[in-house]
Amino acid sequence: MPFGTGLLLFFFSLAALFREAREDEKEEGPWAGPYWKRVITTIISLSIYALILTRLGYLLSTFLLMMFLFWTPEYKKWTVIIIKAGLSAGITYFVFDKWLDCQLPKGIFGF
Amino acid sequence: MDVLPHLLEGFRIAFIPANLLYAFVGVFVGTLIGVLPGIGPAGTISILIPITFRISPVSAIIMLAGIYYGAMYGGSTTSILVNIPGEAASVVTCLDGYQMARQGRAGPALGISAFGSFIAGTFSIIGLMVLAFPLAKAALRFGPPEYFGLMVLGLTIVTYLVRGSVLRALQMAVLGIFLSSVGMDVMIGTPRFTFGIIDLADGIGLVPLVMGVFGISEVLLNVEQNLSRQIFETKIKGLLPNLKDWKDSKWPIVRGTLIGFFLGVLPGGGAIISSFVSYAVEKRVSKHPEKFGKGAIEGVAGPESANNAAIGGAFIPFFSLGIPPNVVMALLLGALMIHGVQPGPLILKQHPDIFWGTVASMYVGNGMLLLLNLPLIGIWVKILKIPYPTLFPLILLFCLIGSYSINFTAFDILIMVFFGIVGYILRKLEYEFAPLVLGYVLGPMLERSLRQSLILSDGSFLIFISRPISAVCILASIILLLTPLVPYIRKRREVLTREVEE
Repeated sequence: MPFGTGLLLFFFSLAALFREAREDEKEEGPWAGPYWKRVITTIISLSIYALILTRLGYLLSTFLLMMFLFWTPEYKKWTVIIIKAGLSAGITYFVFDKWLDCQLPKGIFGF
Repeated sequence: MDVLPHLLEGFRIAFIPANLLYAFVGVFVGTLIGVLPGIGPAGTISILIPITFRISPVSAIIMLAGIYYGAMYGGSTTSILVNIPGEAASVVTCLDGYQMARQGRAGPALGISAFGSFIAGTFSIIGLMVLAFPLAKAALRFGPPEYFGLMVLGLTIVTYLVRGSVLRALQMAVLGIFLSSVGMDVMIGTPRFTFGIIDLADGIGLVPLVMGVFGISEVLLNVEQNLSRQIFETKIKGLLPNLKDWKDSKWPIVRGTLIGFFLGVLPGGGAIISSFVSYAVEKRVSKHPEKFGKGAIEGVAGPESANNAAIGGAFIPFFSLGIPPNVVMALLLGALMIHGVQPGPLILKQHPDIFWGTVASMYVGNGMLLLLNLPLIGIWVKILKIPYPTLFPLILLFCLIGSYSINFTAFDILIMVFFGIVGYILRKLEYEFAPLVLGYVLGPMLERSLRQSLILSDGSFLIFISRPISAVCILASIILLLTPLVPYIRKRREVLTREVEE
């Protein structure tokens, strides 16, 4: 089965490649949007989050991630960002961990 | 089979206060995420699946189904008021709905879409009750070759109906099947493509995959654009459509209901495609096609009815064959299996409470939606005014929690981020993900039925042709796949898709 699907994928891709090669006079729009750097920072921050989540625990790592994400597009006042990040981490923690028993990771600090 | 006593029993289950509450939570959350762009029913259901572990399977499916049809209602509201489809199935509603709103007729547009949805939803539930039993009876006689044929046909239909290139859709479907083969072999248990990573032994999770390609990639596409959006201010008055509106939309609602229902039944059909087809049909039969795109009420009534009717239709193969016809149904299937309930021909016998409870709760939920939507439209519009810089971190956070809490490993978050990147790139290249996810979901079933059939036939592929049902399905798939090569039909298909897009 995997061999068969691999084979099919190969042929379909080959066909797609040929078709692309035939219609080469395509007009090219801008490939990435004007704020493409945000895409990269978002991806990196999410990956780091996955790595630190079990070590620092849900509350702390989510708070840090939310601070960063709220900060990137707006550059607003720090107090606003801290309040927003604190609220979103805190409320989701209580809803999912305490109320729904979802068992979010505790981390080395025990919360 | 006596329908009435069962239906009454179903209503008894649906009216248990706890289930009423779950239905309400379902439709409310569904409408909410239908209103918010960037997070669809598939993503929401995957977030909420872990929550349903603690409640009974009936309550779970009542709530999750509520999210599904609630999202269809909510999606249309934003399409009409702000020209942002909150949900893929409401994309066509933008065309005429938004124009109606600009002409100050937002009220009737919202009204007709709510009533049309209600009528279509109710009809399709009746259809579900009538058709599910005969089909389930027939399905009991299906063997692996028949299932294989049906699934091949389903995958072919979805690749055929997707907008844009059939070839690309095929690539996505095959890639989906390929991804599903990661992990333990379904028959003998050898690990495949795990590269020694223990976390991959169970395969790639459906939830991280779906959230990655739909949720994360959508957010990534949005953050690279300028984040401020303009919201068209409009006064909503007079939600009730007048007599002329009703006369204009009577037949579109009927046609939309039928189209939606039957496309919903087909594996691979579903709400998105049926709304497009309904729009194309309305435009074709209309006496004044030039009005379409400029605020024709038919262009709202038809597709909105169609996408709601498709939901009832989609439950038919789900309950009677155990085959999920679309992504959302696949997630529901996963949720039920976690509860130890295997949808399929036997569910109607073994767990009649699940089937009838769901059916009855859909009547109740549709009623709730009508009540919820007409007075609360103002609130939904306010929610839309939450600025995106505040919204997108929250959407990301819910995706993170959702993918983490399925298996409680951070590895699933990495998988989700990975597929978010893949999805982002593939979207730029104009690939669609419905075939990928359906291929992924059907992959293991496809493989199992293929290999069981080959064991039955001692390794001869002729078994798929010698059995009539599988032969018909496979023949139909081959014909569908070959038609794009015939220039005439190809042109017709292109004309149809272009008509909708224009």
